[in-house]
Amino acid sequence: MNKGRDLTNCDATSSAVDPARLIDEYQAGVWRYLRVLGCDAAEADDLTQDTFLAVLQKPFEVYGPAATAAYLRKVAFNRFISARRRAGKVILMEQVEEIDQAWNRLVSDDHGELLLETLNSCLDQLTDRARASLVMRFRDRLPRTQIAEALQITEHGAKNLMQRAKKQLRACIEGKLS
Amino acid sequence: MTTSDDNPEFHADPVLDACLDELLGGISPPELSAQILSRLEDKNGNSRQHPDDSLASFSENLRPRINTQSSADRRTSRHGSKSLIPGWTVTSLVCVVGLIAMVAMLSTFKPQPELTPIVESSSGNADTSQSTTDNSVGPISTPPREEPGEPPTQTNRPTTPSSLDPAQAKPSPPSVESRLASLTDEEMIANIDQQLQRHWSLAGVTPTNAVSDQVWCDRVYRQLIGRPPHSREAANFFKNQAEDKREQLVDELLGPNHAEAFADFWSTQWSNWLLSQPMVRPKERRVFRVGLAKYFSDALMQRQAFDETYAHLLSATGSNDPNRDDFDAATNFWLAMLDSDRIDITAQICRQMMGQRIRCAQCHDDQQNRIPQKRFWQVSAVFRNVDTERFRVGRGRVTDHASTQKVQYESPEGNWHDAQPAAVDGTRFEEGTNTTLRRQFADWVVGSVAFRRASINRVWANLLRYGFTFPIDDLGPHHPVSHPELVESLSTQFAAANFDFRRLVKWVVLSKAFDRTSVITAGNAKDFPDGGSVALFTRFYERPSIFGSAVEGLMWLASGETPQVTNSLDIANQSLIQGLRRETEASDGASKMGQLLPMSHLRIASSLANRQLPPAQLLNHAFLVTLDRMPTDEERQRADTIFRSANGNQAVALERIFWALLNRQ
Repeated sequence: MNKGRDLTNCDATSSAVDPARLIDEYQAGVWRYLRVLGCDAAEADDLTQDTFLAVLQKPFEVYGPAATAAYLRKVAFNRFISARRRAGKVILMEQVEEIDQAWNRLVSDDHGELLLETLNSCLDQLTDRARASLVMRFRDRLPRTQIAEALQITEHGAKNLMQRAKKQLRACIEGKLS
Repeated sequence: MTTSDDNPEFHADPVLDACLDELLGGISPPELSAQILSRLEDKNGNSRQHPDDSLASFSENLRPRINTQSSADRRTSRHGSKSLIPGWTVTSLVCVVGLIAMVAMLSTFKPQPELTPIVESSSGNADTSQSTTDNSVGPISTPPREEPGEPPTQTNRPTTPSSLDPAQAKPSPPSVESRLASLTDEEMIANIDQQLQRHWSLAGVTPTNAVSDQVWCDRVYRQLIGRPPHSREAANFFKNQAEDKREQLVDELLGPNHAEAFADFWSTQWSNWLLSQPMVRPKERRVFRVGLAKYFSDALMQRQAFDETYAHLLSATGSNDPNRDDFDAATNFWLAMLDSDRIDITAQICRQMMGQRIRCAQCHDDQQNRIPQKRFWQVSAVFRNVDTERFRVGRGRVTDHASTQKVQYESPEGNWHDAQPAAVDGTRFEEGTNTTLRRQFADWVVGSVAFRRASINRVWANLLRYGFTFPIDDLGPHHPVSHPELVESLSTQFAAANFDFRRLVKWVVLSKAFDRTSVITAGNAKDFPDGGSVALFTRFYERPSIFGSAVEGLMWLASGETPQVTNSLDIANQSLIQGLRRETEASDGASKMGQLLPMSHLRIASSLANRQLPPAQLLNHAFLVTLDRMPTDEERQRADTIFRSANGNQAVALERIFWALLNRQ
């Protein structure tokens, strides 16, 4: 999914967007954005589909990769809010908007690829124990009690260790992407 | 997100959490183009029918089968009620349109040879749209089985899986098999080293230095026959001044002098791989495991080809009772694994022998692995005619019976479909021929590229702890393969070498991956497979050593603890958990292997216990067999406690002691 490609059809006189290319180009970015907003994987799948369906059923003009990505994010954001309201869930708009701003700040129009690469390199800078705690949590899906047991620390210690690790990762990412 | 409400710290940074979920947890963006486009066409009023039934869709764009429902709809249709009337209406329309499309296509379209595996779709039409998917998946392709060493042709060349061939859309390079046919051992080892070196350069990592002869000798003995070298054997190796003394030692260990030890050790590994999740009660497990190990042990002693061993295993009939005329030890596999609805056996065989995880397709099309739901049930239909009969605990018979019973499955839409026996790629098997369905399936499995890849990946992982994928029994298109060219060359050469297991082992242990030290340096810090990345093999990933020394292990046992199977997490954090054992279920057979007692040691323990020797003498034997030395006084004291706590069951006490001695640094 290379960024910045021309999404219009090969016919130079036509300004209609090619749906297949638009989806191929931007689906990962939209999906990641929805995950960041708080969707689980299945919900992100659905809302990504809904987003593109909503966009492609109306006339759509391409102004550029950044504008397209921003527009898709806006549609996805609205879909997310609607879905949450339909499900009767309370939405803290300030919190969601804060997440939206954080994502926009860290991710331009590369669909989050650079952010992931940066995070990967930042993981290498963690201590073995800190990295192991995150691996146990995010790869092995272990609860905090088991992480604490494996690392021979208290549950509170495990929580602090992971919080510190994530804080360090956040600082590393901000430093590299700023 | 995967985080739960009881972990508020994970809600503090949703951006980071989602990224970590993707990076470490593997929850990555799916490919939704086909689904969105399909839904878009539906919304726009396009009357195109369901792709699975549609031959028109095949002629249109060869798009794979997709499910156009949202996940919410899918959940509803699985668990909620649904009116059948619209379904019948749609089905009727689909049949009519499909018939018209078929007539039109047959008159105008001539399918390409690569897309010929045609199977029935759920509605009985030719499932030609799926053939595109199958070819792209690769590991489930079925090239005709070539004779060992036979130069490959254009028609029998295996397709490359998408995960192994990033440049899939580019013009295909010359066949791997044509470039690598019939290499000698030296050439193959050089080829492995070359591929490893290339990946080290690409990743910008520096491998560690080669280990000393002493470490290498100890390592090769442990990895090939499951024990360290005796002092005399080690001394002989050190005295040897020949340049190729390492190769000489490997040949010696693979030769007739150590054939029994080699067969014992590897038959245990093989039976553990296959019976990692048996369907029977714990009481019977050990009987079947021992019986299956005996089958593999005999096959190894007779130097039977790897594919023949597995082909026979998959089609075995008869009894597992050695006192009966129709005794066949391979039936232990079926007695241990066959479940009543043939679902688990289907999933297990595909996972263990082909690196294909198809269980998701039991309920719906598996988008990730690109396997339609129908395929799962077609494979499952192969095993419908297998029956087991139990004589008593641990003893029984496996038979194939003629049956016209249809296999039916329910699609997510709530419709019922028939499934005819077929392979994972859709190759149909015919009932009523001279061979059984299982035999046809077995021949297909061992002739498939997926079987070779899964086999070499497993052996590589067994010798070097990590395979080319993680987990090692998942070679699906969504999994990154660390060394795709090496997988290709190893699997191709394994077939060209007539599936000679010993040669495969020799290639690996004489490669640079095997003789590295295990230290982590600044140059290879990126090579951290425990953290979820692919293994680069810049260092030797030591097997988990639970205890720092023998006495530490005996102390732990004497304190009343008992050995438990560990999981990969324990292995990853071995330095942190010394002395801590938890009752956790292993994620796969491979992670269990390091902690299971080899069959050879089980036999020794049993044999010694039957001789009614005093505990002190038993302990001497255990130490001599395992460590080639006598126990110290402190070790004797600890062992006495272990024997006393076993309440007179010396075999159990000995097994535990063996386990502790084998799992020390």
